[in-house]
Amino acid sequence: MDAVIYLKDVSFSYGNQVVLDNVNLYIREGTFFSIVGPNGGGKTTLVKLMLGILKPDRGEIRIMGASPQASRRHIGYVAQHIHFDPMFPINVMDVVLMGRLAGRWGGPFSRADRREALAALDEMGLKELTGASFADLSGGQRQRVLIARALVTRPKMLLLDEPTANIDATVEDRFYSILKELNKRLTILLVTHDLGFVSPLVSSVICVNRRVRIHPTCKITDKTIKELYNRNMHMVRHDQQYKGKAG
Amino acid sequence: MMIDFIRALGNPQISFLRYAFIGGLLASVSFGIIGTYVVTRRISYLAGAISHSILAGIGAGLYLQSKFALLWFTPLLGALIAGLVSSLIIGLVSMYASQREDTVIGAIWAIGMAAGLLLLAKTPGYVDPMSYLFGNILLTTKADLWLIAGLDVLVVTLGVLFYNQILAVCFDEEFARMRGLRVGVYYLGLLFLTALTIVLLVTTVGIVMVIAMLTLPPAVAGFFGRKLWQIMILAGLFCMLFATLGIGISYSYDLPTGATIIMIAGIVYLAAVFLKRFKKKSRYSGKNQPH
Repeated sequence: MDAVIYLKDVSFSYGNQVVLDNVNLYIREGTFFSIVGPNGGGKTTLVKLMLGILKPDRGEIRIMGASPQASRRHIGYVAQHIHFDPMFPINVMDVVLMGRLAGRWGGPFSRADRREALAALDEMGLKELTGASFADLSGGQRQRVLIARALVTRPKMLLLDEPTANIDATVEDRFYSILKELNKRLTILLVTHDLGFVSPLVSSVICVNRRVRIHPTCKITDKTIKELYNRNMHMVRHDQQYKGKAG
Repeated sequence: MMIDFIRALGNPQISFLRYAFIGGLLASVSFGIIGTYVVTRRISYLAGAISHSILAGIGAGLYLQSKFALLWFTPLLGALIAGLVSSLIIGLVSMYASQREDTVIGAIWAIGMAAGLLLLAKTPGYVDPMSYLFGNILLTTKADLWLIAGLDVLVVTLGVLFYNQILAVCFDEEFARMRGLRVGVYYLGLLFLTALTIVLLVTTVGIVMVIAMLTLPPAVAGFFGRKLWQIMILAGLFCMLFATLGIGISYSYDLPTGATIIMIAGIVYLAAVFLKRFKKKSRYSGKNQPH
């Protein structure tokens, strides 16, 4: 079975409120897929179920052929917010090294750990910032540090929750080219509410709004979006350039 | 005046001064390390509750000693038990109670003090609660010094061995949990060590003010250090400086020791805050704003 993620008839509710209703999902290894949907539509709940933080009311979840808890260590999870204290005295290298903590009893990090952390930082284009204070970085740089930290855990899958929330548009392009590069060796799952700019990259889109639908990116139309968000939205295509002149 | 103090330290007639001085220096090691965790993990309020609840244990010790002649149940032992019990309750509440955690912590703070005062009031003979609330260097004994040294060994060993783990838990608890670290164990362990550390300086500085010795040295050190371990070492050194100056000045001018130590720590902290502000302004005025 080469399914990285396999959900069968999964339902979840908070009290009386049904958040996810009868969800079926089958995702192959090596894909780049995106979870989209309105706020409160169940995106985060779906992620928490996949990570084993929440347990489904009904249905079965298999991640990489095992239970979510058992597979958690193979997932490089980058949270939307990290609740960190801006005064916390820590540099970039130390943040990335945290990814090498699992399975260690105590004591200092090895030279191999440091080499691996440095390689991950280099891949993220942050080699010069190794010794910088984490608090001094911009939102986009922090996000890349956290991805580097996820990478040194040697994940089989990268799970990014709203990675572009703190990034300005100029950095976004670079961010996605990094992800595209990573997708050559990793399955990538990207949670976002911003459908527009993921479409050129991802191979399939999972639309979550209580129910879950999977669409190949190219088939996303106004109708799908209306169905998903329950209202009309403008779809802006980012892959086309305006060639004419105004006026 | 400092010469008088140094001479007095060597005077066998006033050994209490020497004990308090050595005790202050020794305790600074634990205070630097644990205080840094308390400040970066933002649990000063929990540490405050633990320190105040210790009065219940001190009261129980004094009461049992004089009423039932249980001489082995010293106030220090009582303080240790009270500190560990309250840190366990506080730790469990803050980990598992979804809300109103501050109410529970405030209750432990106040109930601990109330129980202590009641026990002190019912202890035969006169016991001055002031000594325990605001510290009294006469209370430090030679046996305490060995205890403080032992705690230093424990704190330094655990602190060095699990430095990376505790750093991760303090910085990003969610990530640490996802990576399979037993976050709860580290958190409770940290609270236990906080309780032990507080107990050891309570006799010198007092229940009410000991929390300042835990938080002010790392706060000052935070202006200079860029890494957690640098701040720990600096905080320990600042703690030693404050204790030495405080004991010396209080001896020379006949002032309450605990209050003098805390006043010095407070003045240095405020000075550091102002200096930092001033420096920041002058640094950015001429150059480009970052980003």
